[in-house]
Amino acid sequence: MNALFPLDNWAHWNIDLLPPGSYELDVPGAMLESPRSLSGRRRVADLSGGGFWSVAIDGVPIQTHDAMLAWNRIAKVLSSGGIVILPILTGIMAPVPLNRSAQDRNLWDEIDGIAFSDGALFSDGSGFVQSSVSARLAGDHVIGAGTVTFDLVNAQPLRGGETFSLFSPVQGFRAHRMDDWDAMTTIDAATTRYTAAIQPPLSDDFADGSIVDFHHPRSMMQLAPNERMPLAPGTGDWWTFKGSVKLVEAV
Amino acid sequence: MSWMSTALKTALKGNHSIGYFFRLGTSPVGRLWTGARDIVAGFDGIDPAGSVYRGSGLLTTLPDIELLVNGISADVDFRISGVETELSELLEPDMPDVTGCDILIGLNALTPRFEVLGSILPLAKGKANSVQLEQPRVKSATETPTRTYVLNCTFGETARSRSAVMTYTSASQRSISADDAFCDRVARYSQGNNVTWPHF
Repeated sequence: MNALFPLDNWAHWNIDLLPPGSYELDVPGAMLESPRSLSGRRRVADLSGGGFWSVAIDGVPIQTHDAMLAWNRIAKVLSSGGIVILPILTGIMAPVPLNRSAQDRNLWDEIDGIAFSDGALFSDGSGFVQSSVSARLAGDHVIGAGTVTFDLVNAQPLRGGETFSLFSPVQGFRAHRMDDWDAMTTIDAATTRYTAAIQPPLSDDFADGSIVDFHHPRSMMQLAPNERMPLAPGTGDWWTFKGSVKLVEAV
Repeated sequence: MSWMSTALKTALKGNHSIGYFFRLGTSPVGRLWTGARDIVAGFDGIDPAGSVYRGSGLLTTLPDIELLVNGISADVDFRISGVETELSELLEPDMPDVTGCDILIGLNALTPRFEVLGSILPLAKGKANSVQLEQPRVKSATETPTRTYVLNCTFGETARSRSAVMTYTSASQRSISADDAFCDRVARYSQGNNVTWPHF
């Protein structure tokens, strides 16, 4: 993969300004059918080698000046071959904190008002925000690894199918979805160590202690081939429209 | 110890994930494979510890490779397309001298975790001839221009692009061994003959 950093043509997808009406997330395989036996039974061979994220975003309501500007800015970046850092919206199935039941879960299970190290807050009285569940890689991981081991803190047992992202200084944010875990070890009352298969495999080497972000996974995305991201307001609709775009992971 | 490892044989029996690996012996060595991402893999005897093979969907086609059979083997073209600036900058001003470089093609199955099963199974070895650049003109503004690098190479014992045509005749066999009738019927045989399935 190309080294993406330093990024010179990029944007954030602000999910508050541009919330999708519907969202399609996938890491598609590349299956070829093998020869069919006389009984009609067939096998498949996958050539994807791990694949990459493919996201279809549909029905983004563009109704305000702010949304229109944000849409246009991202369109500028993407149509010139740039990269958008896109939130992978899997918060609804993120790990549940220990003090909540799965039914009582809250998308915003966050600790807010975290001050700077000298105790100061921002000028409007707010502080930093972080997830109440945290995770870090346990041990060094090499590029191409399809199995990861991480320590999960303050969360109920994982159930398989969770999505997280890792940050690499070369490749940026890379999202991975998890299979069911292979091994689960209790480290202490709040910490559990998991080993699990992931897809796609790791895009870079990651050191022990790298942050595994289940709360706000993100991915580096670019425009899908032959895809456009037009600004198309209709005067009859009071200059509003619904935006849609297809993105693929920048590999 | 067979040519193909037991693990690979087992993997290829069912549904499987597979990758084709391409190694060009230029300096620096060019390594590509058919998957989407970079992977660490190696050929036995060349880089058994493994090196990073670049994915990125760069290798667009893997041509049919004809191995040297009956003295005939074909030239083939490998294509990489959708070439990013980084690679293009590397290639254009300072194109590595590919002529005569070894090309190795191999395959390997991947585990369900997209990790390679041991070393790559070598399939074919060839020699590179030349690199060309193709960029067809787009016909309208909505089309995307695609730049393709084409690597022409040859497989089999024939170096460069001239194939060594071998004749296998009764006369040549008898010049080696005067009373050997082994090749007497060669003239009657034709290549590519369809054998009829017997009906009883």
